[in-house]
Amino acid sequence: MTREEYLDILQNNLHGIPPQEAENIMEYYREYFDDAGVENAEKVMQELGAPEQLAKRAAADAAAENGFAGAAGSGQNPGFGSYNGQTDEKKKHTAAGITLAVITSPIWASLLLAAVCVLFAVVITVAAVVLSLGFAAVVMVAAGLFTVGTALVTVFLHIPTAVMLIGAGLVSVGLGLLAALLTYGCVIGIKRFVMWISNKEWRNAKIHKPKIFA
Amino acid sequence: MIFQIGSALLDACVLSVLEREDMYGYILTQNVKEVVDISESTLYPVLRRLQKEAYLVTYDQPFAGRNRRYYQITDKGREQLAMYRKEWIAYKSNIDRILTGEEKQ
Repeated sequence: MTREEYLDILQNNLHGIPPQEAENIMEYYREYFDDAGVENAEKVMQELGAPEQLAKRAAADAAAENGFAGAAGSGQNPGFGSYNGQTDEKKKHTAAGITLAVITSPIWASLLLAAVCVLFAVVITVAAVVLSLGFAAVVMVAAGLFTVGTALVTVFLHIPTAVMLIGAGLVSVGLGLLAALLTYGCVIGIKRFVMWISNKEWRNAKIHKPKIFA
Repeated sequence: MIFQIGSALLDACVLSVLEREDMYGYILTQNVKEVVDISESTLYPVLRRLQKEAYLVTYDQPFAGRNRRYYQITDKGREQLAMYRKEWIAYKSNIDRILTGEEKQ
């Protein structure tokens, strides 16, 4: 294609920007071809890439800078060599992300609330179970000891009853001690679980922290 | 080239080149291309942005029966360039420290 054809296609594809901007772009590239000279025209066209693509990129840049929404094709700029045009892109994405979050907030906020409540309920349940176990242990040991104590008195009145009381009392003490052991085991288990969770959290946070600036 | 140049750094390079002498688009691009791997279309938005921030002004000079647009750095542009140079030294030494393990003053 000739340079004139290239420039024509470029001009015809500059959509979504004010005519003054388009004229500026055209002036720049017309001059660019002129200064490159006839002998370099082919090389320039190759370097610039397809005129339609160039038009898209140029229009998108112009629109982004002037704050026009919905200009021809925003997004990645593949033809810009190694020029890192990320900063504008990131700003757009963040703004869109925030808007999206606000709009969907009824959904995720209630889900979050529900999750928190469930978590709370679980914590309370676990605490209740462990506490009851602990109390049961204490009560059973105490009752058992008391029964054995009673048996020691009954021995003077009716031996078989005393024997039975001692037996029952010891059973209660035994069960109580088992319950106590179980409670202790639960408490240790919970402690370990909590520590494991907190280690995981901090490790994740540490990995995301160091940011080498680009 | 593996490392992409950031937009601020590119601005700094353009201002630095123009500090030496006023240039028109094509020559400016060729100059920058010698140092950084950019495409021919990279500089137009850069120049426009720098012009908008009043770091550059343009003027036309007739050449071979047409107009050639030159870009010239302004005082505000020189100030910005000085700031960029300071930042670059700090940035460069940080990168050196991490990448090559050297402490450069």
